[in-house]
Formats: sequence, C-alpha cells, structure tokens
Amino acid sequence: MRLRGLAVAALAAMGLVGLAVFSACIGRFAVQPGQVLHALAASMGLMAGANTPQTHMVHSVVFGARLPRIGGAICVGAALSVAGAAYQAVFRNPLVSPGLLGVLAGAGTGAALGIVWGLGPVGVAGLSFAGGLLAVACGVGVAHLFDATSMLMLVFGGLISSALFTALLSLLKYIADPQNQLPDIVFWLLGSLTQVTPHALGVMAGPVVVGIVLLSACGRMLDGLAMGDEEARTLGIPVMALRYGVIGAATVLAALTVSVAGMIGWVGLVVPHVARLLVGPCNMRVLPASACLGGMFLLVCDDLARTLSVEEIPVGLIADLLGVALFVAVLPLLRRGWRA
Amino acid sequence: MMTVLHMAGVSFSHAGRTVLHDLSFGVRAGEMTALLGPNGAGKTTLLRLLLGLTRPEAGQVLLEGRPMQGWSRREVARRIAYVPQGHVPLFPYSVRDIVGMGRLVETPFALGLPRHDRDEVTHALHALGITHLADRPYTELSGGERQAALLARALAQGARTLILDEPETGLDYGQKQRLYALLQKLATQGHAIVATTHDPLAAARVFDRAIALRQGRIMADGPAAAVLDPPMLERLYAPR
Repeated sequence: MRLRGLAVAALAAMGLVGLAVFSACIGRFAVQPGQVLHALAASMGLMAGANTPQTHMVHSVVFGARLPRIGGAICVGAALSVAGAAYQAVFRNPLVSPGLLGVLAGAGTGAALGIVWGLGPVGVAGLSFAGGLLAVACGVGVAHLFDATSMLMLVFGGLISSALFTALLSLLKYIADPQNQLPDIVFWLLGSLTQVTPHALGVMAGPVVVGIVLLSACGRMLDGLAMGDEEARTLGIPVMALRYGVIGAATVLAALTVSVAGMIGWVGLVVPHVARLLVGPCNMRVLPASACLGGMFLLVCDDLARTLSVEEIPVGLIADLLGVALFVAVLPLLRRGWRA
Repeated sequence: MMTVLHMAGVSFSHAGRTVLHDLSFGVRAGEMTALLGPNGAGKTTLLRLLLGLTRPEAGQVLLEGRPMQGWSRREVARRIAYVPQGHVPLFPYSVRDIVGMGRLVETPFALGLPRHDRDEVTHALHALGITHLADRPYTELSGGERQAALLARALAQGARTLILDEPETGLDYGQKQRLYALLQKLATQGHAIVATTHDPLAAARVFDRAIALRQGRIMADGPAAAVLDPPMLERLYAPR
C-alpha cells in the first residue's frame, strides 16, 4: 500500500517532467528533446556546454522563454487545482470553485486598478494579490457580522463580496482609457502566461510548493470535516482553526495565480473531480493529485495556446474550453462517486 | 468506580426556552448508563454538553474533575468518543477510511497513516467483526453496518468513555444483541458507556443504570431494572 503510493507519486512526477521537456521542445523554434536535456545538464554544471551559436540559441529559447512559462503553467495550474480541492473539502461541496469567496473577482479588480493607475507589471501583480485577499477578507467579515460558525453565512459573504468586486471591476473598465487601458484589462482578464518571467516564477514557486504541502498535510483532518462540524470536533479536530487556516492558504494560492497569470478559474473546479476519480475521496491523496493533474492540465493548455495559431491565444480561454470538455467527459463517472 | 464525567448543576436554554434544569449526575468508568425520555426531553442537548460541544448556561461539566472548557478539543477526543446516528458524507470514503478518522486524534497531520495507526484500525475492524467491509464504500452500507463502522471508529480513537446517540436505531434483533454484548464487554474492560435509547425494555435488561429525563429534569436515576419499571415508564412517557 505504502509502496504503491510512492510508485504512483514517482510516476506522476515523471509524467510531469516528461510533459515539461516535451513542452520545451515545441513551438515556433523547434528544439530536440536531447538539446533540452543537454542545455539543462550544462546549466547545472553536469556537462560542458558547447559554445556554438546553435547552443546559444537553444539556451536562450529554452531558459529565457519557454522554461519560465512552463514552470508558470505548472505552478498556476497546481495552485488553482489544490485551492479548488481544498475549498471543496472545507465547504463539503463538490461544486465549489476557488472563486467562491471572491478571491478571483477581488484579484481581477486589483489588477484593473493597477492598470488604470498606470503601474508596471510588478505593481499590477501586487495590487491584484492584495485585491484577492481583501475580497476574501470582506466575505469572511460579512459572515462574522452575523454568525461566524455558519458555513451558509460564509457562502453568502463570498457571494456579496464577489458581487461587490465584480461591480468595482465593471466601474474600472468603464472609466479606463478605451485606447490603451481597456484592452490591457480585457486581455489580462482572459488569462495569459506570457508575462511570467524567471523572477516572477522564483517569487511564486516557493509559496505554491509550501501551500500544496501544507494543505495536503491537512488532508486527513479535511476528511474528518466531511462528517460534519460537530462530529469533526468530537474526533479532535479544531474545526474553526482548520476551516479558516485552509481558506487562508487556498486564498493565498488562488490570489497568487491571478496576480501572475490573470483569470484562469475553471481549472480549480474541474481538476479535483478528476483527481478524486483516480485516487478516491481521501484528501491526503486528492490534494497532491489535484496539484499534479492541474499542473499538467494547464501546461497542455498553454502548449496549445502558443502553438495552435500564429497569434498567441489567451491560455485562460483554452483552459475554460478544455475544462468544459473534460468536465462533460467525466460527469457520468462522477455521479457514481457522490451520493447526490 | 471512578467518575470520569460529572454534571454539576447544569442548566441550558435554547432560543429563550430552558431545555435542561439544574442537572447533576456522574458518569462512572465501567458502568453502562442509559439515557431515556420522550422526544424533546433534552437528551440530545445533554449528549452535546457531555461531549463538550456546547457550554452550560449555569453549572459545570467536569471531565476528570476539570471544567470541560479548560480542555483542548484533542484532549477531550482522547478521552471521549462519540458514536452518532449514522449519516452519510457526500464522498464515498471506504469503511477503513472512516475508522481511520478515529486516529486523527493522534496523527492529525500526515500524508499517510503510520503503521501503528493502521494496526489500530485493523484491530477495531476486527473487534466489530467488519473486516470484510473494510474496503467497501461507507456510503453504500446498510444502517447496521454503518453503526458498526462508527463504533469501530470510536474504538480506534482509544477513548475510555463512549457516548452513543440511539445506537440501536435501524438494527435488527441479532445486530442489537451483538451491539449490547460488545458494549457490555467494553464496560467490563473499564469503559464508561452513555447511550440514549428509545428501547426501555432492552435498556432495563442490558444497562447498569438508567437516567430518566422528562422536560429537562431528571425524574429518576438508579439501577436500570429498578428505574425502568412499568409505572415509571408510564409517567415518563405520559403525554404532556
């Protein structure tokens, strides 16, 4: 049992790495898998790098353009999916997406505000992140005004907060300069990984990995939560601390993804279902599996986004379309899983 | 016998209506206590107070002599396990997963269940005679099987006090007899057992002690066979 788990984890990691190498090869400038591995080995000092114009070109394409983007796709897909799975566990509802408490609307509003104020990419990303956290704080705050222990109140708080920030976003679109700011906002909201720089990836990767590990480690307690709040308490689970801790971590992850890649929402709802089909309902397996599958899914989406046509297609759009197709494909299987 | 749980002058009201009036009694190790009374007598509230899920309005609930609110949730769960009436989660956890939840008390953070915990789960499944159900989805079990799984979970939790909410609901005659036999065995091993029940005849036969609750007050508290005699039952369940 233990060995099987490790074997599956190893297989999943190999699949992810294989997909990443494949993704590094495809594109306008075709690169052989051998060249990618060679460049990787050379950059790690494992192999002497040949000093030809060809290897320079490979190096700059692979390291300057493709790998940060590949890393970004994996991080964003993994973070959104794990956040979605965590939200679904906390709210005991498989129809919940990471946007439930308003994080996506808030982050979108923050980014739009940054664009309207004419901030640079770092400023926009920072405001977006802050906007996501602020929106969830508003939702939770509204819930606390009435009944902090009620999950229904929390959902209402999220609805109110989402509506508020969506309205603010509309206002920002309305007052944005239609010549240059509005297209920026619209494009940004479609979701794209073109802005992912090595630096941004470096900033994002740490928190994403920590978040995934932390949430996965809470997986067993989240299973206990599935039995209902009171029963979970009799099992020794500090229900409120767990709920708000997990919401906090998942919110940070979701806000991070919006701040680097714009609005790519659906992944977070669909991928956990596929993960549950593969590894069963236990969250200590569902959460890491969601992260892995989500990373792969968005990587495939991004590959399509940059190779399907000469013009780049926003990856959020592809992710939504593929996500819908995937959801429709697995829906008949899901019905067996839940007791609907 | 040691008193593990103690109710000292406990009152509780809900939505402006007093549900429990000044209750005092002790729960002792090695004793099986049945909690009886008509619907609405306050049995469920009493269980919630004993589990530390809610606080009394007046008086105190003491666990091993210390006020309940001074204990952490985890420390309470190490001492008191709850067997609710079987309800079903949305996701199809296996029986082994459900019983494994009893080990959350010792290993809340884990990416896999350590060997010791898995052994405890196996042991609990065996004690209930449901090893063959281990890999079945809990969501697809019958009422009796679900009850057994929840009881196995309580055993895996390792607590010495078990609180059960109408455990005989949905069980057939044979399942009931086996449940009572198991509870009696646990009591002789030193567990304190508290169960609400709607079956006074079985309670009189099986339990050591009965507490009769009516309109939030204790009508009688003593040896089950003595408390649950026909005249008493008539008064206890008389229409208001």
